[in-house]
Amino acid sequence: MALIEVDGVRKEYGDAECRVVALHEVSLEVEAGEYAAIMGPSGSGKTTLLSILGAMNPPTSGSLRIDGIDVYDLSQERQADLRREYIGFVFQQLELVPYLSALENVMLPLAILKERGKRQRALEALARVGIDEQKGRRLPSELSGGEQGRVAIARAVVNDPPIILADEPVGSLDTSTGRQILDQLRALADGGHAVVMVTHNPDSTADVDRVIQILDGSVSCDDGPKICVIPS
Amino acid sequence: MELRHIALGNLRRRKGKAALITFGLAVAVAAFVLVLSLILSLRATMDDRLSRYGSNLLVTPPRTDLDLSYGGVSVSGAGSGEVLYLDEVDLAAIQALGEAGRSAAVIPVRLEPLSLEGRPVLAMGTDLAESAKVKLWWRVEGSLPDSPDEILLGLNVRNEFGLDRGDTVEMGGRPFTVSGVLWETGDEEDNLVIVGREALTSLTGEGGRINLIEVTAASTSDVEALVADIERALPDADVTSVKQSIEFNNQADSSLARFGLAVMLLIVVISGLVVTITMLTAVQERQKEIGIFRAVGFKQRHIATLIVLESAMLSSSAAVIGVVGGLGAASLAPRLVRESELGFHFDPLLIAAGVAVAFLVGLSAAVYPAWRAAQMDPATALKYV
Repeated sequence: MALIEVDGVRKEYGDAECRVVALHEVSLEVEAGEYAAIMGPSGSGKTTLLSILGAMNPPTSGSLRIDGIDVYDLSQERQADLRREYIGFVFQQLELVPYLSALENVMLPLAILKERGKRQRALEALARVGIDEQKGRRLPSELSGGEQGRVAIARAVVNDPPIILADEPVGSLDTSTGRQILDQLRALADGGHAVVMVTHNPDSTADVDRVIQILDGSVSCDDGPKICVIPS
Repeated sequence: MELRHIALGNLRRRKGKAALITFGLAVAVAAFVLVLSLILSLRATMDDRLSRYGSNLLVTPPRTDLDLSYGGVSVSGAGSGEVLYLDEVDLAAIQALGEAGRSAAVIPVRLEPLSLEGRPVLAMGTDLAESAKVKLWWRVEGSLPDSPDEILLGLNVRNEFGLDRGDTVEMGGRPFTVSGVLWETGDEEDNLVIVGREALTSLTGEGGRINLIEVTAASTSDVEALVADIERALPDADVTSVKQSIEFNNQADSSLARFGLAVMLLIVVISGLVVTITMLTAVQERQKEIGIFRAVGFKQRHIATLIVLESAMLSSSAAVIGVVGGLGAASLAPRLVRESELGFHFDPLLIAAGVAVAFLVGLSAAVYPAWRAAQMDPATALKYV
């Protein structure tokens, strides 16, 4: 059983008069330890697919199973629990909360938990990406782009979720910072996490195990990155 | 880190909006405290004024016949002629109510026709110190009797008998010294010879008889309850309230309270709307941030709690600013109204009410924005690609 199983997912927006089909019957599986990139041009449906994978956007039809759990059969409350337990997000432009310190940003997924040791867990997550406690006290605006990227990675892994979803994580970053983020994602996959990254930049897919090409809401190619042929 | 740290951090970052919401709430609280303080002050002033009219209640023995008098003119020839009295037991029963805090003064009155220098006068035996305390219009030339051999003359008696302070007269067969003369009251007291109750009892030899008991309620709002208490304690006695003044007072109180309530409600509603709209705008601006919170596992109730927590924090600040501002304005208001007897009456209730209003308005105004925030789609975190 794959960690992520997408089966016949279709997503439509709008009403009967003006209906837009964002995804057509998409099916795919992602295993633990696999690093997959979802590629496609703007409007192809890749972000819609990512939001469905992230238990944030119920499909019109079809199903998503994570670790065998049919996600969209769960209540919204349980979906939130599942997001916290199973999924770490790395957002486009990193999206660190500007008024929280780096350490507090990492603690964000733990904020609603009633348990001890949250600070220690966050410090450990920061340490894994090479940020010490002193830098952890700084606001995101006081960190370099690369450091902000590493904080975003630490926030995604602080709960030790088996799945990491990254939405254009290097789209707005300089080359060096982007490289650091991609290296971190590769390391996470090597560490056993299933990593799914949405990108429109072929350069970002150099280290991935697999490229899933989306075009007009359908999977047009699902092979390794080196041999995928993008339909014209 | 807990939700409260996130709430506090957001307020620190969005200082402008936080200040606007705090200001809106503080204005409502200050207005509430000011109006409530003015109502309490006015009520206290009116209570004080009413107390100058003396007793609120007269307790008299049961009547066996209808009162055949009008405008102070009594028509004789009707009734059995029997005079009934209250006694010490009745007095003790009413005094017991006073100990329970309902009444401020209980004054027994004994009336007895006596001979003064061979001519009839009406003598009143009463608790002189207590009377002087309640009857603020009493102005005495000389002093109140402080021994059983002294009397106080009403102005008409003094004029009729040509007596003055320090004179010795014979009343009821005993010599008495005039300790003082009561200035004109324009009332029946001008025709009385006033003595201590014990002195009158020793003259007549009929101890324990009381013609009426004057009762002053602790507050005008207590009068009706006090009447009911006395009627329960003395079911045979007649209890008469000074209706006109009390009803006027109650009507004035009610009108004032209604007006004040309307003004307060208006201010509170406007303030609540300002807070709601500002918070809604803030929530709208934070769509992305809320989406991120939801994406990392926050449930709808956590988002709602976050918004309510922020509102509670702002309400705390607004409570402090509003109560201090309201009390300050209330203390200044009487100085702005010339020739007013209005004073500033501090009451801890003002602080409690101000704090309650701050939280009531702040939290109520946060309900809809909190609900809206909680409904936000977590996928918002991935939008604007």
